[in-house]
Amino acid sequence: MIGQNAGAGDPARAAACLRLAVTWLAVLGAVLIALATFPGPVLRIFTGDDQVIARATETIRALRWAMPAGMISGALLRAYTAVSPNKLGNAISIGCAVLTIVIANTWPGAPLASVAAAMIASQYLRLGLLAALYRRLFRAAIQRRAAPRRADGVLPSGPRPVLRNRALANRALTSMTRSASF
Amino acid sequence: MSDGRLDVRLWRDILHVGLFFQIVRDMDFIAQVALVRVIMISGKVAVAGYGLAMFLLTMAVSAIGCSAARRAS
Repeated sequence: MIGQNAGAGDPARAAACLRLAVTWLAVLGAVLIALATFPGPVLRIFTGDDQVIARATETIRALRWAMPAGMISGALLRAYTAVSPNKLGNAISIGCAVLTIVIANTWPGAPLASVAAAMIASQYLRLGLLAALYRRLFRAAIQRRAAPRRADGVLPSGPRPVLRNRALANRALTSMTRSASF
Repeated sequence: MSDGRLDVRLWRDILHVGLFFQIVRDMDFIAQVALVRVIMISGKVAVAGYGLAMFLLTMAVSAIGCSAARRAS
């Protein structure tokens, strides 16, 4: 939706889509944290082993704090990628994945504590960096795409970005189909 | 393109947009494998518990994502 609206030269609607997605993910993430406090009944649907349920409960309680950051940063990364190639945002995500591995293997303490520390640190770092780059990676990109429309108040007579993207998609689909047939 | 040959320029454009994002997805997968290896130190029950917990959390996150997307549309 964000890519479609940005391609159609409607930056306000693209930004509104992202705002709505982030708001909903924040609210639902908070609900998830609350529900994850007592996951026992749901876990019993999948197994009756008390030891496994105890371990799973412990794991969910430790990792639930990373989930909202993971969801929101994932939404931001996909939104940025929808409007530009977004090498910087993706490089940040790759760096945070490497950081996850490093922290998990070097953090002192129990294995679950190491995993929780790695996930929470890397997810919130990714969220912070991506949020800090909102203006550069998203706002500027959708404004650039809308520039021809804003210059004279009407759409340009030539192909609009959305049409170019659709043509590109059609060409890719044709290419893949033909490649697969050989 | 129409003669059925691979369009190198087109695929270069596609890779320019999608390659980095695909590397991100692969790195997330590798990171999860590394986390499971750390959990393995605690034994089989811990791995089973971790797997069940991650399944539940990712399922919930997916459901939340779908809900948010439908709401946004």
